[in-house]
Amino acid sequence: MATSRELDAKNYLEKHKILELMDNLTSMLFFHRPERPCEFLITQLEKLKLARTTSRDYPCLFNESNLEAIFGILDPTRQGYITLGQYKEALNTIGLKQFDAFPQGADYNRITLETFKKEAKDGLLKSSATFKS
Amino acid sequence: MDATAKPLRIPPEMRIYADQHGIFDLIQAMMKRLLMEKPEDPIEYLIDLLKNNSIEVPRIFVLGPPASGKRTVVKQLCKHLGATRISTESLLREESDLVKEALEYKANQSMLWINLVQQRLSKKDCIKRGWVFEGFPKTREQAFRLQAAGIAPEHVVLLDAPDTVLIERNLGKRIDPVTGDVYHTSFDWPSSEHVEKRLVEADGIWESETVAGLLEYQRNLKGLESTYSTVSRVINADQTSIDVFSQVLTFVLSRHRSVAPHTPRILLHGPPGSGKSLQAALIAQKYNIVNICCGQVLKAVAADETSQGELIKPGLETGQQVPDSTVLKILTERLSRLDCTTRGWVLHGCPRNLEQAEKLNSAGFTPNRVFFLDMPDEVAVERVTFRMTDPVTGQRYHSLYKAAPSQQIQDRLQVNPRDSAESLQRRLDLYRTNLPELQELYSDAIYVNADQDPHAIFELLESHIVNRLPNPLSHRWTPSPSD
Repeated sequence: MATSRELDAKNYLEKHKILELMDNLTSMLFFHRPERPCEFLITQLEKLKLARTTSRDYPCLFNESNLEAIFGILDPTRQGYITLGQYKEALNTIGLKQFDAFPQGADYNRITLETFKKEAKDGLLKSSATFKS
Repeated sequence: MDATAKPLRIPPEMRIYADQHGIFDLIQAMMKRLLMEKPEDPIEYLIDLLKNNSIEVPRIFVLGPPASGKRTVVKQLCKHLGATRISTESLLREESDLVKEALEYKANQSMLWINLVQQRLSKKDCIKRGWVFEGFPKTREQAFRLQAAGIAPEHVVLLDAPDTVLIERNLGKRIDPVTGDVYHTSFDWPSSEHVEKRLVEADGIWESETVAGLLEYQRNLKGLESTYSTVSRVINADQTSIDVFSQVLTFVLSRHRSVAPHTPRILLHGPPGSGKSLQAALIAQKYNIVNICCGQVLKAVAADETSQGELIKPGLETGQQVPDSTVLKILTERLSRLDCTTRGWVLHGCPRNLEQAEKLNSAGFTPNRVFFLDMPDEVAVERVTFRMTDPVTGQRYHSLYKAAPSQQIQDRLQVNPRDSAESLQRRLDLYRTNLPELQELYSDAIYVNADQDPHAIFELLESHIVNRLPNPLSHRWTPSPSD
């Protein structure tokens, strides 16, 4: 039986998206591996603060060229589209948990690069916005 | 963990990075603070926390019966660590509304005390430098209220001494009214005449009062001990103040066990016969890490019919040293295999000199625990020259420590030419010449006396491997003139 303090703490964590914030910060640390981790974290947090007010430029590990590269791997024959199953797997691999399962083109199983990029960017935006909305 | 799931392959650079900078503990400390304070704007709060660099500051309670020497210990600690000193008297001397209220009440109202303490500890100097609190909390109830208010110490020092010693000590207690220092008529007399003249007898030093104070303390001690059992240590106050202080300091600088994932990368270094292979085998068996003996790795490569093997075979056969670059290449290849990077390794027999050690570091295999096994040369000679092996069973014997059971076996024992007196002397000389440079490179190594029973050495090594390295005092905050 969780005590009220425990429930309070859990609510606080969910409201402010603390666990996602910590996950993102840790991944950034391990990817960039800066010499002075505390200062690097301060810079990232300041960027996040700025992004919160201006609603753009969220700190994120993936950029547009990464997304294009992923699409390229999934579509080696350059048909111009990937299947719904591939699309779902790719977005899971990037780490997105919430995305549109039926984007444009799902009914005839052909997801184009543009749709893929748009959905990925939306999902990444949501996962990087680790503060109270 | 699902046995059918593929094991997660974390690149070794990330492991090394995380180990080096203590990332796990940093993130854990940040989460702890967030959950305790629950600020409205966590991002701003985290930025402040990181800027102040106040994650690993000292937060110490020093508790003990009357006349145990708390004042002296606290003063020395504050000087050494640069922390702020707080005591119940200093709290009351502050100018604030809470203080006025507390003085008006003139009773030990717990809630008022807690509010006072909370206010004092949230001031900037306490947050930045850390604090050492003398003589509070006195009861378990106070300790619980402190915890509820979010004040939890990192270390609690419980000074302890037999009652008779304390009663006698208290009779000689004298206080300097100007500085508040505590002196003693027989143990700790002030050096200047000036101070001597000012000394005043402290109040509450007669035997009956000391006894009352002691009873009160003993009554509350059990409760306090159980509350702070994980972070406290009892230190014997019936010693000279220098001894007491050195024990307190070692305790306060030690860091508590953390749950951070830790791959041991251990280096054992010592003269021939110091027991490196034995200790390495014991450690590898107990903690399931890979035991890498440089000599054996080289022999294994030489036995393989590869081009590298051909290169080093002549070197091994003639007994000369194989060139550094080949050794390093073979060693780094062995260390970068999957079993070493996931389970950890214990290395002995290499590096022998500074160049090898530096090359090992630059290849990314910096050890995180280095042990130097010290031993005088005579002991080495005694241990090594009497070593013999039985060619039939492969058992190793020693004329003095582990003699062969029967005459028949003894007749056929053979001595390894490496263990003869001349070659041993050469090995020892080589070791001694290379030793100072290696000691300089591995400045935070741990020195172990190898002339002991192997199980005693094993326990010592274990305690250093399993516990975290102590806190270096590198980021002490120095007071600025305005404070």
